[in-house]
Amino acid sequence: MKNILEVFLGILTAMGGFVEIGELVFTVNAGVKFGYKLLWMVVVGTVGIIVFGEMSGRIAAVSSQPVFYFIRQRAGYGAGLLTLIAANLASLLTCAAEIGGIAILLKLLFGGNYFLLAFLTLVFLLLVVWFLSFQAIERIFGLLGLLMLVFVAAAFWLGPDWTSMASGFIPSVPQLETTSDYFVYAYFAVALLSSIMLPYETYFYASGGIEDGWNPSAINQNRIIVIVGFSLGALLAVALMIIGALYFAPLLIEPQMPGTAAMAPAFLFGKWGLIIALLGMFFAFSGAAIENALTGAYNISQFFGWNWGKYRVPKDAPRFHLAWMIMFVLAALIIFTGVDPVEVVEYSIVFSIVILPLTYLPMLLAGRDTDYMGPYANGWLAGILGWAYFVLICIAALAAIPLLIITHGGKG
Amino acid sequence: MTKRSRHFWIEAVLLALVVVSVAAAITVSELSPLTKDDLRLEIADLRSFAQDGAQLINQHLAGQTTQTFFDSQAEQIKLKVDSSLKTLRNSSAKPEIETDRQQAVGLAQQLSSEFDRLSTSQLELERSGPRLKTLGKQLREMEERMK
Repeated sequence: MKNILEVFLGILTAMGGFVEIGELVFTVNAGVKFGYKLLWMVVVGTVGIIVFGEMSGRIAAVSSQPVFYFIRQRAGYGAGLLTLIAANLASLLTCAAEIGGIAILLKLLFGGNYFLLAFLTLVFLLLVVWFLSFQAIERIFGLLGLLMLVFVAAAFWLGPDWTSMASGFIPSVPQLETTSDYFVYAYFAVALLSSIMLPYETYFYASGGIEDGWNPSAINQNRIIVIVGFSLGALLAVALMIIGALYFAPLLIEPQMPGTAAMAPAFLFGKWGLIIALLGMFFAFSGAAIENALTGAYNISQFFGWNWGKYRVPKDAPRFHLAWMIMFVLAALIIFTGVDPVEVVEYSIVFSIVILPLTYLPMLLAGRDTDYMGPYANGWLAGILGWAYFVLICIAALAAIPLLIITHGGKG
Repeated sequence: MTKRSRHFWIEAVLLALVVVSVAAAITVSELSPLTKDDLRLEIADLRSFAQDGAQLINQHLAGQTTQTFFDSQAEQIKLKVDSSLKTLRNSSAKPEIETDRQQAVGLAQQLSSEFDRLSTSQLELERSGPRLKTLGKQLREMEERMK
Protein backbone atom coordinates (compact mmCIF):
# COMPACT_ATOMS: atom_id res chain seq x y z
CA MET A 1 0.00 0.00 0.00
CA LYS A 2 2.83 2.35 0.93
CA ASN A 3 4.55 1.61 -2.40
CA ILE A 4 1.39 2.32 -4.36
CA LEU A 5 1.00 5.63 -2.56
CA GLU A 6 4.66 6.45 -3.28
CA VAL A 7 4.20 5.72 -7.00
CA PHE A 8 0.95 7.69 -7.11
CA LEU A 9 2.52 10.71 -5.42
CA GLY A 10 5.59 10.36 -7.63
CA ILE A 11 3.43 10.42 -10.76
CA LEU A 12 1.52 13.48 -9.61
CA THR A 13 4.77 15.20 -8.65
CA ALA A 14 6.36 14.47 -12.04
CA MET A 15 3.21 15.72 -13.75
CA GLY A 16 2.92 18.88 -11.65
CA GLY A 17 6.58 19.72 -12.16
CA PHE A 18 6.55 19.24 -15.94
CA VAL A 19 5.97 22.82 -17.06
CA GLU A 20 8.09 25.85 -16.17
CA ILE A 21 8.19 29.41 -17.53
CA GLY A 22 10.19 28.55 -20.66
CA GLU A 23 8.00 25.67 -21.70
CA LEU A 24 4.88 27.75 -20.99
CA VAL A 25 5.97 30.61 -23.25
CA PHE A 26 7.37 28.47 -26.07
CA THR A 27 4.46 26.05 -26.15
CA VAL A 28 1.72 28.70 -26.20
CA ASN A 29 3.57 30.65 -28.90
CA ALA A 30 4.13 27.49 -30.94
CA GLY A 31 0.34 27.08 -30.91
CA VAL A 32 -0.18 30.73 -31.92
CA LYS A 33 2.22 30.49 -34.86
CA PHE A 34 1.64 26.96 -36.12
CA GLY A 35 -1.65 25.73 -34.65
CA TYR A 36 -1.48 22.00 -33.96
CA LYS A 37 1.39 21.43 -36.39
CA LEU A 38 4.06 21.08 -33.70
CA LEU A 39 2.13 18.74 -31.40
CA TRP A 40 4.28 15.87 -32.62
CA MET A 41 7.32 17.58 -31.15
CA VAL A 42 5.72 17.43 -27.68
CA VAL A 43 5.50 13.65 -28.15
CA VAL A 44 9.10 13.42 -29.40
CA GLY A 45 10.37 15.50 -26.45
CA THR A 46 8.29 13.59 -23.91
CA VAL A 47 9.50 10.17 -25.12
CA GLY A 48 13.05 11.58 -24.97
CA ILE A 49 12.75 12.77 -21.38
CA ILE A 50 11.11 9.45 -20.45
CA VAL A 51 14.04 7.51 -22.00
CA PHE A 52 16.76 9.54 -20.28
CA GLY A 53 14.80 10.11 -17.06
CA GLU A 54 14.27 6.36 -16.70
CA MET A 55 17.93 5.70 -17.51
CA SER A 56 19.24 8.25 -15.01
CA GLY A 57 16.86 6.96 -12.29
CA ARG A 58 17.85 3.34 -12.98
CA ILE A 59 21.57 4.15 -12.90
CA ALA A 60 21.09 6.07 -9.63
CA ALA A 61 19.08 3.21 -8.11
CA VAL A 62 21.64 0.55 -9.07
CA SER A 63 24.88 2.41 -8.45
CA SER A 64 23.79 5.14 -6.00
CA GLN A 65 25.87 7.41 -8.22
CA PRO A 66 24.41 10.52 -9.85
CA VAL A 67 24.77 11.80 -13.41
CA PHE A 68 27.75 14.10 -12.86
CA TYR A 69 29.81 11.31 -11.33
CA PHE A 70 29.49 9.49 -14.67
CA ILE A 71 30.11 12.61 -16.72
CA ARG A 72 33.46 13.07 -15.00
CA GLN A 73 34.25 9.36 -15.10
CA ARG A 74 33.33 8.79 -18.76
CA ALA A 75 34.10 12.13 -20.40
CA GLY A 76 37.26 12.88 -18.42
CA TYR A 77 38.09 15.86 -16.24
CA GLY A 78 38.42 18.48 -19.02
CA ALA A 79 35.24 17.74 -20.96
CA GLY A 80 33.49 17.04 -17.67
CA LEU A 81 34.48 20.43 -16.27
CA LEU A 82 33.23 22.21 -19.40
CA THR A 83 29.95 20.30 -19.15
CA LEU A 84 29.70 21.30 -15.50
CA ILE A 85 30.25 24.99 -16.29
CA ALA A 86 27.78 24.95 -19.19
CA ALA A 87 25.17 22.93 -17.26
CA ASN A 88 25.36 25.19 -14.24
CA LEU A 89 25.20 28.30 -16.40
CA ALA A 90 22.02 26.94 -18.04
CA SER A 91 20.58 26.09 -14.60
CA LEU A 92 21.49 29.54 -13.30
CA LEU A 93 19.74 31.26 -16.21
CA THR A 94 16.69 29.04 -15.84
CA CYS A 95 16.60 29.71 -12.08
CA ALA A 96 16.85 33.46 -12.77
CA ALA A 97 13.97 33.30 -15.25
CA GLU A 98 11.81 31.40 -12.75
CA ILE A 99 12.55 33.97 -10.00
CA GLY A 100 11.60 36.79 -12.37
CA GLY A 101 8.48 34.86 -13.40
CA ILE A 102 7.47 34.33 -9.75
CA ALA A 103 7.93 38.06 -9.02
CA ILE A 104 5.66 38.88 -11.99
CA LEU A 105 3.03 36.43 -10.71
CA LEU A 106 3.16 37.93 -7.20
CA LYS A 107 2.70 41.37 -8.73
CA LEU A 108 -0.33 40.12 -10.68
CA LEU A 109 -1.79 38.57 -7.54
CA PHE A 110 -0.99 41.22 -4.92
CA GLY A 111 0.51 44.25 -6.70
CA GLY A 112 3.67 46.00 -5.53
CA ASN A 113 7.15 46.78 -6.75
CA TYR A 114 8.62 44.14 -9.06
CA PHE A 115 12.14 44.33 -7.65
CA LEU A 116 10.92 44.16 -4.06
CA LEU A 117 8.84 41.13 -5.00
CA ALA A 118 11.88 39.53 -6.66
CA PHE A 119 13.80 40.07 -3.42
CA LEU A 120 10.95 38.56 -1.37
CA THR A 121 10.91 35.62 -3.79
CA LEU A 122 14.61 35.08 -3.15
CA VAL A 123 14.04 35.11 0.63
CA PHE A 124 11.04 32.78 0.28
CA LEU A 125 13.01 30.25 -1.81
CA LEU A 126 16.01 30.35 0.54
CA LEU A 127 13.77 29.72 3.55
CA VAL A 128 11.86 26.91 1.82
CA VAL A 129 15.01 25.01 0.86
CA TRP A 130 16.63 25.65 4.23
CA PHE A 131 13.70 24.48 6.36
CA LEU A 132 11.85 21.87 4.29
CA SER A 133 13.03 18.34 3.61
CA PHE A 134 13.66 17.18 0.06
CA GLN A 135 10.51 15.05 0.10
CA ALA A 136 8.38 17.93 1.40
CA ILE A 137 9.68 20.28 -1.31
CA GLU A 138 9.04 17.67 -4.00
CA ARG A 139 5.50 16.98 -2.82
CA ILE A 140 4.36 20.52 -2.02
CA PHE A 141 5.52 22.17 -5.25
CA GLY A 142 4.85 19.15 -7.48
CA LEU A 143 1.33 18.60 -6.18
CA LEU A 144 0.31 22.27 -6.03
CA GLY A 145 1.78 22.70 -9.52
CA LEU A 146 -1.17 20.51 -10.55
CA LEU A 147 -3.32 23.65 -10.28
CA MET A 148 -1.94 24.23 -13.79
CA LEU A 149 -4.48 21.60 -14.87
CA VAL A 150 -6.86 24.56 -15.21
CA PHE A 151 -5.13 25.05 -18.59
CA VAL A 152 -6.12 21.50 -19.59
CA ALA A 153 -9.72 22.24 -18.63
CA ALA A 154 -9.54 25.52 -20.59
CA ALA A 155 -8.16 23.73 -23.67
CA PHE A 156 -10.96 21.17 -23.50
CA TRP A 157 -13.54 23.94 -23.02
CA LEU A 158 -12.31 25.72 -26.16
CA GLY A 159 -13.53 22.70 -28.14
CA PRO A 160 -10.60 21.73 -30.36
CA ASP A 161 -11.23 19.97 -33.64
CA TRP A 162 -10.07 16.51 -32.56
CA THR A 163 -9.39 15.27 -36.10
CA SER A 164 -7.06 18.10 -37.08
CA MET A 165 -5.51 17.94 -33.63
CA ALA A 166 -4.81 14.22 -34.09
CA SER A 167 -3.10 14.96 -37.41
CA GLY A 168 -0.76 17.31 -35.54
CA PHE A 169 0.72 14.31 -33.74
CA ILE A 170 2.08 12.95 -37.02
CA PRO A 171 5.59 14.35 -37.66
CA SER A 172 5.45 16.55 -40.74
CA VAL A 173 6.80 19.71 -42.31
CA PRO A 174 3.74 21.83 -43.12
CA GLN A 175 3.20 24.07 -46.14
CA LEU A 176 4.31 27.54 -45.07
CA GLU A 177 4.37 30.86 -46.89
CA THR A 178 8.05 31.82 -46.87
CA THR A 179 11.50 30.35 -46.29
CA SER A 180 11.70 32.45 -43.15
CA ASP A 181 8.57 30.67 -41.83
CA TYR A 182 10.31 27.31 -42.27
CA PHE A 183 13.25 28.54 -40.19
CA VAL A 184 10.86 29.75 -37.48
CA TYR A 185 9.12 26.36 -37.57
CA ALA A 186 12.49 24.61 -37.16
CA TYR A 187 13.44 27.00 -34.34
CA PHE A 188 10.23 26.26 -32.44
CA ALA A 189 10.68 22.51 -33.00
CA VAL A 190 14.20 22.66 -31.53
CA ALA A 191 13.16 24.97 -28.67
CA LEU A 192 10.20 22.74 -27.76
CA LEU A 193 12.45 19.68 -27.73
CA SER A 194 14.91 21.51 -25.51
CA SER A 195 12.28 22.92 -23.16
CA ILE A 196 10.87 19.44 -22.56
CA MET A 197 14.28 17.70 -22.32
CA LEU A 198 16.02 20.37 -20.22
CA PRO A 199 19.16 18.67 -18.84
CA TYR A 200 18.54 19.80 -15.26
CA GLU A 201 15.53 17.50 -15.15
CA THR A 202 17.68 14.37 -15.40
CA TYR A 203 20.38 15.70 -13.06
CA PHE A 204 17.73 16.54 -10.50
CA TYR A 205 15.74 13.34 -10.99
CA ALA A 206 18.76 11.08 -10.48
CA SER A 207 20.01 13.05 -7.49
CA GLY A 208 16.48 13.01 -6.07
CA GLY A 209 16.37 9.21 -6.42
CA ILE A 210 19.54 8.99 -4.32
CA GLU A 211 18.09 11.48 -1.80
CA ASP A 212 15.04 9.20 -1.56
CA GLY A 213 17.32 6.21 -0.90
CA TRP A 214 16.47 4.29 -4.06
CA ASN A 215 18.02 0.84 -4.61
CA PRO A 216 17.47 -1.75 -7.38
CA SER A 217 14.08 -2.62 -5.90
CA ALA A 218 12.91 0.90 -6.89
CA ILE A 219 13.55 0.34 -10.61
CA ASN A 220 9.95 -0.53 -11.46
CA GLN A 221 8.68 2.38 -9.38
CA ASN A 222 11.09 4.66 -11.28
CA ARG A 223 9.85 3.31 -14.60
CA ILE A 224 6.17 3.83 -13.80
CA ILE A 225 6.77 7.34 -12.44
CA VAL A 226 8.64 8.59 -15.49
CA ILE A 227 6.39 6.95 -18.08
CA VAL A 228 3.03 7.86 -16.53
CA GLY A 229 4.08 11.12 -14.83
CA PHE A 230 5.86 12.66 -17.80
CA SER A 231 3.15 11.47 -20.24
CA LEU A 232 0.45 13.13 -18.16
CA GLY A 233 2.69 16.21 -17.85
CA ALA A 234 2.84 16.29 -21.64
CA LEU A 235 -0.95 16.64 -21.62
CA LEU A 236 -0.41 20.04 -20.07
CA ALA A 237 1.99 21.01 -22.87
CA VAL A 238 -0.58 19.85 -25.45
CA ALA A 239 -3.24 21.93 -23.68
CA LEU A 240 -1.03 25.02 -23.78
CA MET A 241 -0.52 24.57 -27.51
CA ILE A 242 -4.28 24.21 -28.06
CA ILE A 243 -4.86 27.42 -26.07
CA GLY A 244 -2.28 29.18 -28.26
CA ALA A 245 -4.00 27.96 -31.41
CA LEU A 246 -7.63 28.51 -30.42
CA TYR A 247 -7.59 31.43 -28.02
CA PHE A 248 -4.56 33.64 -28.71
CA ALA A 249 -4.03 33.16 -32.47
CA PRO A 250 -7.47 34.54 -33.49
CA LEU A 251 -6.88 37.53 -31.19
CA LEU A 252 -3.48 38.17 -32.86
CA ILE A 253 -1.74 37.96 -29.48
CA GLU A 254 1.68 36.35 -29.06
CA PRO A 255 1.92 35.98 -25.28
CA GLN A 256 5.23 37.23 -23.90
CA MET A 257 4.22 37.37 -20.24
CA PRO A 258 2.85 34.75 -17.83
CA GLY A 259 -0.12 37.02 -17.09
CA THR A 260 -1.21 36.94 -20.71
CA ALA A 261 -1.24 33.14 -20.68
CA ALA A 262 -3.50 33.24 -17.59
CA MET A 263 -6.12 35.26 -19.48
CA ALA A 264 -7.36 32.14 -21.29
CA PRO A 265 -8.56 30.37 -18.11
CA ALA A 266 -9.93 33.74 -16.93
CA PHE A 267 -11.96 34.09 -20.13
CA LEU A 268 -13.50 30.65 -19.65
CA PHE A 269 -13.80 30.33 -15.87
CA GLY A 270 -13.78 33.93 -14.64
CA LYS A 271 -11.77 35.30 -11.72
CA TRP A 272 -11.34 31.90 -10.09
CA GLY A 273 -9.90 30.48 -13.30
CA LEU A 274 -7.44 33.36 -13.33
CA ILE A 275 -6.42 32.92 -9.70
CA ILE A 276 -6.02 29.13 -10.02
CA ALA A 277 -3.88 29.62 -13.15
CA LEU A 278 -1.66 32.19 -11.41
CA LEU A 279 -1.27 29.99 -8.31
CA GLY A 280 -0.51 26.93 -10.46
CA MET A 281 2.19 28.87 -12.27
CA PHE A 282 3.52 30.17 -8.93
CA PHE A 283 4.05 26.64 -7.60
CA ALA A 284 5.33 25.28 -10.92
CA PHE A 285 7.86 28.13 -11.34
CA SER A 286 8.90 27.93 -7.67
CA GLY A 287 9.45 24.18 -8.01
CA ALA A 288 11.56 24.75 -11.13
CA ALA A 289 13.60 27.51 -9.41
CA ILE A 290 14.33 25.21 -6.47
CA GLU A 291 15.17 22.28 -8.76
CA ASN A 292 17.62 24.42 -10.74
CA ALA A 293 19.35 25.85 -7.66
CA LEU A 294 19.66 22.40 -6.11
CA THR A 295 20.78 20.95 -9.45
CA GLY A 296 23.62 23.48 -9.60
CA ALA A 297 24.69 22.44 -6.10
CA TYR A 298 24.31 18.72 -6.87
CA ASN A 299 26.36 19.02 -10.07
CA ILE A 300 29.28 20.86 -8.55
CA SER A 301 29.38 18.69 -5.41
CA GLN A 302 29.15 15.45 -7.36
CA PHE A 303 31.80 16.54 -9.83
CA PHE A 304 34.34 17.48 -7.17
CA GLY A 305 33.40 14.63 -4.85
CA TRP A 306 32.09 16.79 -1.99
CA ASN A 307 29.48 15.57 0.49
CA TRP A 308 26.06 16.41 -0.90
CA GLY A 309 22.35 15.93 -0.26
CA LYS A 310 19.47 17.82 1.28
CA TYR A 311 19.20 15.01 3.83
CA ARG A 312 22.63 16.02 5.17
CA VAL A 313 22.69 18.86 7.68
CA PRO A 314 24.72 21.92 6.60
CA LYS A 315 27.51 20.97 9.02
CA ASP A 316 28.01 17.66 7.15
CA ALA A 317 27.79 19.11 3.64
CA PRO A 318 28.70 22.81 3.99
CA ARG A 319 29.88 23.35 0.40
CA PHE A 320 26.74 21.75 -1.03
CA HIS A 321 24.46 23.98 1.06
CA LEU A 322 26.51 27.05 0.28
CA ALA A 323 26.35 26.20 -3.44
CA TRP A 324 22.54 26.22 -3.68
CA MET A 325 22.37 29.47 -1.75
CA ILE A 326 24.89 31.03 -4.15
CA MET A 327 22.84 29.77 -7.10
CA PHE A 328 19.72 31.52 -5.75
CA VAL A 329 21.57 34.75 -4.99
CA LEU A 330 23.29 34.91 -8.40
CA ALA A 331 19.99 34.13 -10.14
CA ALA A 332 18.27 36.94 -8.23
CA LEU A 333 21.11 39.33 -9.08
CA ILE A 334 20.53 38.61 -12.78
CA ILE A 335 16.88 39.60 -12.31
CA PHE A 336 17.81 42.73 -10.32
CA THR A 337 19.62 44.01 -13.44
CA GLY A 338 16.14 44.50 -14.93
CA VAL A 339 16.49 41.91 -17.67
CA ASP A 340 13.22 40.42 -18.95
CA PRO A 341 12.83 36.89 -17.46
CA VAL A 342 11.21 35.57 -20.62
CA GLU A 343 14.20 36.70 -22.70
CA VAL A 344 16.53 35.02 -20.19
CA VAL A 345 14.64 31.76 -20.47
CA GLU A 346 14.73 31.86 -24.28
CA TYR A 347 18.51 31.97 -24.19
CA SER A 348 18.75 29.37 -21.44
CA ILE A 349 16.60 26.93 -23.40
CA VAL A 350 18.66 27.28 -26.56
CA PHE A 351 21.87 27.09 -24.53
CA SER A 352 20.57 23.95 -22.78
CA ILE A 353 20.18 22.02 -25.98
CA VAL A 354 23.79 22.70 -26.87
CA ILE A 355 24.88 20.84 -23.72
CA LEU A 356 22.35 18.00 -24.01
CA PRO A 357 24.73 15.69 -25.94
CA LEU A 358 27.43 16.22 -23.31
CA THR A 359 24.94 15.20 -20.63
CA TYR A 360 23.33 12.22 -22.28
CA LEU A 361 26.35 10.51 -23.85
CA PRO A 362 28.03 9.60 -20.51
CA MET A 363 24.66 8.42 -19.26
CA LEU A 364 24.19 6.19 -22.30
CA LEU A 365 27.67 4.75 -21.87
CA ALA A 366 27.16 4.06 -18.16
CA GLY A 367 23.64 2.70 -18.67
CA ARG A 368 24.75 0.04 -21.15
CA ASP A 369 27.83 -1.01 -19.14
CA THR A 370 27.02 -4.51 -17.86
CA ASP A 371 30.11 -4.51 -15.61
CA TYR A 372 28.62 -1.58 -13.79
CA MET A 373 24.89 -2.11 -14.11
CA GLY A 374 24.82 -5.94 -14.08
CA PRO A 375 21.37 -7.25 -15.03
CA TYR A 376 19.98 -3.70 -14.97
CA ALA A 377 21.98 -2.47 -17.98
CA ASN A 378 20.06 -0.90 -20.89
CA GLY A 379 17.86 -3.39 -22.73
CA TRP A 380 17.43 -3.30 -26.50
CA LEU A 381 14.61 -0.74 -26.36
CA ALA A 382 16.44 1.68 -24.05
CA GLY A 383 19.58 1.21 -26.18
CA ILE A 384 17.92 1.90 -29.53
CA LEU A 385 15.86 4.82 -28.25
CA GLY A 386 18.83 6.23 -26.34
CA TRP A 387 21.12 6.28 -29.38
CA ALA A 388 18.36 7.53 -31.69
CA TYR A 389 17.71 10.44 -29.32
CA PHE A 390 21.41 11.07 -28.99
CA VAL A 391 21.66 11.57 -32.78
CA LEU A 392 18.54 13.78 -32.70
CA ILE A 393 19.82 16.04 -29.92
CA CYS A 394 23.23 16.32 -31.62
CA ILE A 395 21.49 17.62 -34.77
CA ALA A 396 19.32 19.94 -32.66
CA ALA A 397 22.39 21.16 -30.75
CA LEU A 398 24.17 22.07 -33.98
CA ALA A 399 21.10 23.83 -35.37
CA ALA A 400 20.00 25.67 -32.21
CA ILE A 401 22.26 28.75 -32.21
CA PRO A 402 22.16 29.40 -35.98
CA LEU A 403 18.36 29.16 -35.84
CA LEU A 404 18.24 31.52 -32.85
CA ILE A 405 20.19 34.12 -34.84
CA ILE A 406 18.49 33.61 -38.22
CA THR A 407 14.96 33.78 -36.77
CA HIS A 408 15.63 36.66 -34.32
CA GLY A 409 14.75 34.40 -31.41
CA GLY A 410 11.82 32.78 -33.22
CA LYS A 411 10.12 36.00 -34.26
CA GLY A 412 10.64 35.53 -37.97
CA MET B 1 51.40 19.08 -22.70
CA THR B 2 49.59 15.76 -22.25
CA LYS B 3 46.94 14.54 -24.68
CA ARG B 4 44.30 15.05 -21.98
CA SER B 5 45.18 18.67 -21.28
CA ARG B 6 45.46 19.37 -25.03
CA HIS B 7 41.90 18.06 -25.46
CA PHE B 8 40.74 20.23 -22.59
CA TRP B 9 42.16 23.37 -24.17
CA ILE B 10 40.75 22.51 -27.61
CA GLU B 11 37.29 22.03 -26.06
CA ALA B 12 37.63 25.20 -24.00
CA VAL B 13 38.63 27.25 -27.06
CA LEU B 14 35.75 25.80 -29.11
CA LEU B 15 33.26 26.62 -26.37
CA ALA B 16 34.69 30.13 -26.00
CA LEU B 17 34.45 30.61 -29.79
CA VAL B 18 30.77 29.63 -29.76
CA VAL B 19 30.01 32.02 -26.88
CA VAL B 20 32.01 34.89 -28.46
CA SER B 21 30.37 34.32 -31.88
CA VAL B 22 26.87 34.45 -30.38
CA ALA B 23 27.73 37.56 -28.35
CA ALA B 24 29.26 39.21 -31.45
CA ALA B 25 26.24 38.35 -33.61
CA ILE B 26 23.87 39.82 -31.01
CA THR B 27 26.00 42.98 -30.57
CA VAL B 28 26.32 43.55 -34.31
CA SER B 29 22.58 43.12 -34.80
CA GLU B 30 21.88 45.57 -31.93
CA LEU B 31 24.24 48.23 -33.28
CA SER B 32 23.49 48.03 -36.99
CA PRO B 33 20.68 50.12 -38.53
CA LEU B 34 17.18 48.66 -38.50
CA THR B 35 16.46 46.49 -41.51
CA LYS B 36 13.01 45.96 -42.98
CA ASP B 37 12.78 42.66 -41.07
CA ASP B 38 13.80 44.25 -37.76
CA LEU B 39 11.18 46.94 -38.20
CA ARG B 40 8.50 44.40 -39.10
CA LEU B 41 9.29 42.42 -35.95
CA GLU B 42 9.04 45.51 -33.73
CA ILE B 43 5.70 46.35 -35.37
CA ALA B 44 4.51 42.76 -34.82
CA ASP B 45 5.38 43.07 -31.12
CA LEU B 46 3.48 46.36 -30.87
CA ARG B 47 0.49 44.82 -32.64
CA SER B 48 0.51 41.94 -30.14
CA PHE B 49 0.70 44.40 -27.19
CA ALA B 50 -2.20 46.46 -28.57
CA GLN B 51 -4.34 43.36 -28.99
CA ASP B 52 -3.28 42.09 -25.55
CA GLY B 53 -4.34 45.41 -24.01
CA ALA B 54 -7.69 45.41 -25.82
CA GLN B 55 -8.43 41.86 -24.67
CA LEU B 56 -7.36 42.71 -21.12
CA ILE B 57 -9.85 45.57 -21.05
CA ASN B 58 -12.64 43.40 -22.49
CA GLN B 59 -12.07 40.72 -19.90
CA HIS B 60 -11.78 43.25 -17.08
CA LEU B 61 -15.04 44.91 -18.07
CA ALA B 62 -16.63 41.46 -18.18
CA GLY B 63 -15.54 40.89 -14.57
CA GLN B 64 -13.06 38.15 -15.46
CA THR B 65 -9.99 39.71 -13.81
CA THR B 66 -9.19 41.28 -10.48
CA GLN B 67 -8.33 45.01 -10.26
CA THR B 68 -4.77 44.15 -9.13
CA PHE B 69 -4.27 41.81 -12.08
CA PHE B 70 -5.62 44.40 -14.49
CA ASP B 71 -3.40 47.21 -13.16
CA SER B 72 -0.24 45.06 -13.01
CA GLN B 73 -0.75 43.42 -16.40
CA ALA B 74 -1.46 46.82 -18.04
CA GLU B 75 1.70 48.21 -16.42
CA GLN B 76 3.77 45.33 -17.77
CA ILE B 77 2.40 45.68 -21.28
CA LYS B 78 3.15 49.42 -21.16
CA LEU B 79 6.74 48.68 -20.14
CA LYS B 80 7.07 46.44 -23.18
CA VAL B 81 5.51 49.07 -25.44
CA ASP B 82 7.91 51.71 -24.09
CA SER B 83 10.85 49.40 -24.65
CA SER B 84 9.81 48.94 -28.30
CA LEU B 85 9.26 52.69 -28.63
CA LYS B 86 12.76 53.34 -27.29
CA THR B 87 14.26 50.88 -29.77
CA LEU B 88 12.38 52.46 -32.66
CA ARG B 89 13.33 55.99 -31.61
CA ASN B 90 16.98 55.33 -30.88
CA SER B 91 17.80 53.16 -33.88
CA SER B 92 18.75 54.49 -37.25
CA ALA B 93 16.98 52.88 -40.18
CA LYS B 94 17.98 52.26 -43.75
CA PRO B 95 16.77 55.20 -45.95
CA GLU B 96 14.15 53.14 -47.78
CA ILE B 97 12.32 52.36 -44.52
CA GLU B 98 12.84 55.64 -42.67
CA THR B 99 9.25 56.77 -43.33
CA ASP B 100 7.95 53.45 -42.04
CA ARG B 101 10.10 53.81 -38.92
CA GLN B 102 8.65 57.26 -38.24
CA GLN B 103 5.13 55.94 -38.73
CA ALA B 104 5.87 53.07 -36.33
CA VAL B 105 7.20 55.54 -33.74
CA GLY B 106 3.95 57.51 -34.03
CA LEU B 107 1.80 54.42 -33.52
CA ALA B 108 3.96 53.25 -30.61
CA GLN B 109 3.57 56.68 -28.96
CA GLN B 110 -0.21 56.49 -29.33
CA LEU B 111 -0.16 53.01 -27.87
CA SER B 112 1.92 54.11 -24.91
CA SER B 113 -0.46 57.04 -24.25
CA GLU B 114 -3.45 54.68 -24.36
CA PHE B 115 -1.89 52.55 -21.64
CA ASP B 116 -1.21 55.70 -19.57
CA ARG B 117 -4.90 56.57 -19.65
CA LEU B 118 -6.18 53.09 -18.79
CA SER B 119 -6.97 53.28 -15.11
CA THR B 120 -8.46 56.77 -14.97
CA SER B 121 -12.18 55.91 -15.19
CA GLN B 122 -14.65 53.23 -16.22
CA LEU B 123 -15.89 55.39 -19.10
CA GLU B 124 -12.35 55.96 -20.34
CA LEU B 125 -11.74 52.22 -20.10
CA GLU B 126 -14.74 51.50 -22.30
CA ARG B 127 -13.35 53.90 -24.91
CA SER B 128 -9.78 52.63 -24.67
CA GLY B 129 -10.64 49.08 -25.73
CA PRO B 130 -11.84 50.02 -29.24
CA ARG B 131 -8.98 52.53 -29.62
CA LEU B 132 -6.44 49.82 -28.82
CA LYS B 133 -8.16 47.51 -31.30
CA THR B 134 -7.91 50.20 -33.98
CA LEU B 135 -4.21 50.68 -33.23
CA GLY B 136 -3.73 46.91 -33.38
CA LYS B 137 -5.44 46.87 -36.78
CA GLN B 138 -3.26 49.70 -38.11
CA LEU B 139 -0.13 47.95 -36.87
CA ARG B 140 -1.28 44.69 -38.43
CA GLU B 141 -1.78 46.40 -41.81
CA MET B 142 1.67 47.92 -41.58
CA GLU B 143 3.17 44.56 -40.62
CA GLU B 144 1.50 42.88 -43.62
CA ARG B 145 2.72 45.60 -45.94
CA MET B 146 6.28 45.04 -44.81
CA LYS B 147 6.30 41.28 -45.50
